Amino acid sequence: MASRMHTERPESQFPVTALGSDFRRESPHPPPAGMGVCLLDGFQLASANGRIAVPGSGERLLALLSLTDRAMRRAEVAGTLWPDASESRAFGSLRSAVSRLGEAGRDALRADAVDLALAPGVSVDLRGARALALRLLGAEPRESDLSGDVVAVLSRDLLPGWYDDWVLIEAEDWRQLRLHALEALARHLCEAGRFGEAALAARASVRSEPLRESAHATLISVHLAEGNQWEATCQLDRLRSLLREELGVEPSGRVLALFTPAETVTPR
Amino acid sequence: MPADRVGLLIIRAWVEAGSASPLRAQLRWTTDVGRGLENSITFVDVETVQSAVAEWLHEVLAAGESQGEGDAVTPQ
Repeated sequence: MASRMHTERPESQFPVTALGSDFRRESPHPPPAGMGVCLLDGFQLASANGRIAVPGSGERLLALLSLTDRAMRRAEVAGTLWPDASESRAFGSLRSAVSRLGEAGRDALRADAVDLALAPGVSVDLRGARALALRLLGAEPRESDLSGDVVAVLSRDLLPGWYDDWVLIEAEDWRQLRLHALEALARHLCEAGRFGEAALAARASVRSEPLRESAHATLISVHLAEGNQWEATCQLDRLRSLLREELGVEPSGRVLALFTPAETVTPR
Repeated sequence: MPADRVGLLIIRAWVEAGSASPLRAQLRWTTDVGRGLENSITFVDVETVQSAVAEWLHEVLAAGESQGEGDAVTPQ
């Protein structure tokens, strides 16, 4: 199972209003220990006891609340999840989604008469991953951030295969952030002389977007820093072949400028 | 009642500074979002992207029209 980033959220007290069977009474107990929502590489709700199965409508509800990270008005939730339905049908679909979450699924939810939100104490892997990426792009990442294990976290897409508008924007935002963070990680590791791990991070960026020249430039820089002119030249050749085949263009001057004439090794 | 098919086309565009053709426009598309994004291609010029978008819209229209013919009620 993929490692998850847990963020601690303070418990909050919310007023209780029970109106009808779709409203859940506020539980005096916090959610089960270790309850978390995973959005990277696909949706998953789990606690310390293992995965909690929820129907598709429940997944979409919890994913939306996890991404917005705030209490949402029920009307906003219904309108976002069922944009093509009438208001009454959307509200009905929302009530159904909440009730079908089941006891365990509803532990992840905080609901009152007006608002819905993720229950306090429920972690979301994306939040920790974003914080990690931002630290890597900042001036002083933590020592624990500079790890080959981090490459796996930064290689995961947000909810792949989900095409709702509210997901696509967030997914693209995360994708750009993680690609930049992978390159930054490679640079930090390279500066620390950890060339193997640096190359791992740079290659992950190349794999995520093969046509992104900055990813290739980062990998080439790692090879050159380690003194591997041959590897660097081979990587340039791969980029050149790819760009010619896919786009009919040559590598940019930025990539070519990484090489001095003496560093260019002619392949046999 | 059958659900209407929905096409989806996403264009991810960025600029490669220093390139002779700096535009990169990656298109991913489908004429039926229920099947996921089935196709992907990247272009470097605006006109080709415009042509590809127009072609996709025609495909969506054709797919919708053929679905409508299939749903037509046969008079008894």
